[in-house]
Amino acid sequence: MAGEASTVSAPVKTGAASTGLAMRLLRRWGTILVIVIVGLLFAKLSPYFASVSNFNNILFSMIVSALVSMGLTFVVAAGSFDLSVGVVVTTASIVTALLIPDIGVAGAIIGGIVTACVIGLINGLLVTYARLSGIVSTLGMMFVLDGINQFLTNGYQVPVDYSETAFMYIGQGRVGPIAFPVIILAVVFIIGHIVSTRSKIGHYIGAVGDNPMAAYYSGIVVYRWVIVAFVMSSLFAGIGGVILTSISSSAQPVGGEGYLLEAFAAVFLGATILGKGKPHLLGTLLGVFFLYMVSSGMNMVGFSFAARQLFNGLVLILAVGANALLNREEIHLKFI
Amino acid sequence: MTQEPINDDTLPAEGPSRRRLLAGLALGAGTAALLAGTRKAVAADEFPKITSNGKKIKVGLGLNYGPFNQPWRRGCWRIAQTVQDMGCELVTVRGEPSKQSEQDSARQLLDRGIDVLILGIYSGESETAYIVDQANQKGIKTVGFMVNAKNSPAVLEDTWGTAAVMGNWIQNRLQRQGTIVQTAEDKGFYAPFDMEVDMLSLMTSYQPRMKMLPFMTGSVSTTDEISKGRENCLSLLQANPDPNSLQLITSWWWPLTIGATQALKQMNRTAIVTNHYFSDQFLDVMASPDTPIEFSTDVPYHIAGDRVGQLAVALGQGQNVPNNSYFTPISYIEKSQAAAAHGDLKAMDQQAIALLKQYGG
Amino acid sequence: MTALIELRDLRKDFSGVHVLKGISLSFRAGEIHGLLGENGAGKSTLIKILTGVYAPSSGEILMDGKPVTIHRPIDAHRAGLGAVYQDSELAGSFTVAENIVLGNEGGRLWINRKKIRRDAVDIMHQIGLDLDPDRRASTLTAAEMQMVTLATLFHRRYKMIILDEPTARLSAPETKMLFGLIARFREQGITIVYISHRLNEVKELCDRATILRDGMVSGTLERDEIDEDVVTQLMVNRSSAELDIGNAGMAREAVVLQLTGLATDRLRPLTLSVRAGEILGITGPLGAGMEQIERSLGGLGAYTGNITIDGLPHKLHSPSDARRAGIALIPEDRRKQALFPNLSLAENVSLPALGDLARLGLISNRSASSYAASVIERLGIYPDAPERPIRYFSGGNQQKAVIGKWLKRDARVYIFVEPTSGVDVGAIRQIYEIILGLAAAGAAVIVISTSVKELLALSETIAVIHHGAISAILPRENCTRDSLLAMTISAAVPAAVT
Repeated sequence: MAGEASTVSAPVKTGAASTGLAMRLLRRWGTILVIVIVGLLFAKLSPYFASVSNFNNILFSMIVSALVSMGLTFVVAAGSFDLSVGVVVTTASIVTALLIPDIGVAGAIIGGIVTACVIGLINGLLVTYARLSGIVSTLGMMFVLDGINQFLTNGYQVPVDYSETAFMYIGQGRVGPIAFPVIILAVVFIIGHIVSTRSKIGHYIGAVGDNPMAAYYSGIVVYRWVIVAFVMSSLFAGIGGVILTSISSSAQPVGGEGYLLEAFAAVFLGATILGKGKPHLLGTLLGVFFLYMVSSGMNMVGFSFAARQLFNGLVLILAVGANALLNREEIHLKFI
Repeated sequence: MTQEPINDDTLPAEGPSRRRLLAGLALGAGTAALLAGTRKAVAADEFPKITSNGKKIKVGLGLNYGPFNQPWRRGCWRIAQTVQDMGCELVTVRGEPSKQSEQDSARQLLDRGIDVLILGIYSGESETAYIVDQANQKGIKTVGFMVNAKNSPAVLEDTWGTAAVMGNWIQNRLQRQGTIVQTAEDKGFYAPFDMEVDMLSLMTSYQPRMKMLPFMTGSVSTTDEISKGRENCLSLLQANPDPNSLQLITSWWWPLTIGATQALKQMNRTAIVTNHYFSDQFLDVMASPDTPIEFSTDVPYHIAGDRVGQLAVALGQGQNVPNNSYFTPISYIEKSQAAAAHGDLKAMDQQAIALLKQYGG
Repeated sequence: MTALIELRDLRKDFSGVHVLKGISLSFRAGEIHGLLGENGAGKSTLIKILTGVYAPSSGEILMDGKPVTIHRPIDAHRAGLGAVYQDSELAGSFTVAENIVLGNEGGRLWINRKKIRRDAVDIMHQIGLDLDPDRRASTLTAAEMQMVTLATLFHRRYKMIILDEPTARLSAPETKMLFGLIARFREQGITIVYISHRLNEVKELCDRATILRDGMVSGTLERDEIDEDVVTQLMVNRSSAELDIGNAGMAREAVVLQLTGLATDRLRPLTLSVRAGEILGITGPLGAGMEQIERSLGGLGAYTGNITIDGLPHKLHSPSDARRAGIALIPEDRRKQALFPNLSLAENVSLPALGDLARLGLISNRSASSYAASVIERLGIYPDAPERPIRYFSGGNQQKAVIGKWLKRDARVYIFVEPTSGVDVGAIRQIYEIILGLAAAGAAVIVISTSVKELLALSETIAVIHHGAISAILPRENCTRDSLLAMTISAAVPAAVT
């Protein structure tokens, strides 16, 4: 946050109410506060909501979406968009399921993840060396992958034999009360967090996304880090695909598209968390959690179909609105 | 349309009978004895007689239908009614019409102290296998509603049979000559549609003077399917401008059918339209005098709901129920019966809405 | 001394436009070498070639006698060549410390935040820069950003550093700090190429100076040969006497702009009036309050008090309010605040005037481009290429474009902030003529500047601001260069002046 100026004058603050401690706290924790309040609201409305088991359920539901959203965070932090994230899940899932009978579980998992990384690499190359816009090229990739998915499966699901218990453990195993894939999610998050906050990968991706010119002049190889960001995005989606295959005991030919919109919502909602103002992994994770918590709450309380949509929308606007209200300092010229 | 299952003997003699004939020849038995049999003899079609043993148990059901899913709602109504009539309790949560939401609802229900869980209608056996495993660990039984579930009995749509009925009617109507096209939701989204589409394509391919145009893919439940159906049909008609180039459109999902009829009207073309799945809006359109819709099949979700409810209670009460797939009978009507069917349907829907209100609607 | 870098017949053209027509030059290790030249003489292009942003069309670059290829910034980075541009950019969401060390954090994969902060604090200590290292770069002022960029270079220990107009946004004390830094660079044997229009600085600092004219080397002078007349002759082929300019005094009776009790959180209630035809120069140390006046009048900041123009009170809550009130603000940071870099010169110039150029709501292309053409001619913008994107024009020409935006609006009050920051001699004269012309036409003009020479040339009245209040306000004829400088540094007004 803005520190105190020393000998040189600080920029003028317009319209700031009081700059006391309370305001600063609210600015930092405002969005989280909204999340907590909504959670408490649901807990009050339904006795089944606030239980360990339901918490586990929410975490389980959000695994694939969380992985996809975290991957997308890297690309958005680098200043681009990746619209193919959802479909990559499906593709990785299909490749994994197809490979299991032929080369065994370990090979199949590696195959699925490598496929995802290759897709990410292609996306990255298109956006850098081929000079295409991120939105357009990943949109095109999305359609291409859709076609490939149909081609590989002919529209039918690809089953994984029930006897593949080792593979099934990935998505269906439990360690005590916690589902195994949730542990995978936690581990991936921790590694991702370390990479994005403590390594050059995260630091330079952030620099490139913030000011590509400044990064360029500093001698940072801008292209390299953009490509890395796209590979990260697809890699995370690929991991999600493998886990999804295990949970579903099969690879479904369609179904990944839903993750895309959720992921963007989570990334941009997450950017307002902890007052960072730019996308970061923890914020994204909390954003996904929020979306799924709301869904779970609505399920339990029994909202009608119409009310669900309404409530979902209102609650999202409230979450980002709270942040905007509290950060009214500078001239607002950021409309994305 | 009555609420009784339609007597299967009225079906054309092709199809399953031919299968049985060959099977009989292989066994070496006389043909006459086999031909005298009816479909009801096959175990998969016969639904067992179930009565309550008085034990009061809890049945878990996710209410995930959306605004376009009226058949599903009817099914849930009958499940609820049956459970109540048999003296047991229904526990529900309210979700959305998607695989993810279905599975979320199912898992939430596992914590509500239920004795048996009803799974359906989108997620297939593979996808809910892990939920069945979790349920079994808690001693909860499972039953499939319109889908199979692992190691569980299920009540399913007779997809092959429906497609056979549809195909036979079409071939008779067109005198086995002409070009047809079919449309349904996206492939891979709802397996029964995929099965019916494949079956009809297969049947058509055996008719030398009939042709099947490429499948028109519809949409998915969370989007405006009437518009999509209309758009698709308009493109199709543009691509085949000769009025004699298309004789019949089969739509396996009623919003797409309505869209198709709108397109035909807009382009001033004639073609016969057939449909699968009734609905309030659909039957209204089919009952109007100048509609191109001539034939429609339906899945009697209300019968399925009845049967699923019975199976669930029986399982929950510990009765012995074999893990079979049970099929619903096939309902079908022609244009002249549309108005009557509409009246019946409206009556059912009103009852459905009234009853389901107490479960959150 | 041996030549560190030698340029042999370096040429560069951009789709047919020849910008560098054969530069042969050498820089010795450890020397401070000035580089001078007019608009479009080729200085910016030369730097961009040396730092790898552009590749030369032909010619050679040799380092320590061996030819090197510099085609990308990373090549220059590895060869040890770096530059600080007029519009140096920082990563806004990163802290000061992170920016200083950016690209050079050391280690293979991991970032050690503590080490970054330590290194940055170390460097800032060494050069005497007092800023909070944890402050986000987006909150820095333009001058602060410049200092941070300079600190960055110190960290990287380059062999040759090119400074492009580094003092353009610095106040007197900051300029002193910079010179100290340059001295330290030189002690370490680093070569400095110093580009500036301020001859006194060049003479003070540089061992040698090269003057470019029209894409070629016009001459190279040793320190003691550097003289205003000689340099001007080499730059523009005219004598410097012709470049003297001053304000004869054009103020009329009527008061156009009246500020009464204008106060902000950093400005104490200020009362000021500017008459038609009067040019009021305002100066003071950075942070004294001039920015506050600028922002309030531009509708960019909250204030209390009254602003009256031609007798009518106005409330300025936004820049459009200011525009409607008849105030034209030409800000300091033209790239960010005043121009659309990717739009063409013509589009930039005619944008604010579109309302006037439209008939029945439709804008005729012809009227917009003929307006742009008239502005280009009137202000002497070079080159005469109205369709070229504005970012390809030199600083001076961009500044003229910014002024050009306002010409049709017939504003009543013009406020110029550092109007010739980063502008060369030839253009400075033209800009001064324009400003004087605006006053002569009857507008009230305020010039906020830290250049004493500029204020003395332009103003009729001069005000000095200290600690948020006017410490002195007096007619220009009562000021000399030294007395004005003294007043700027200390709030005390020398007795001889009152």
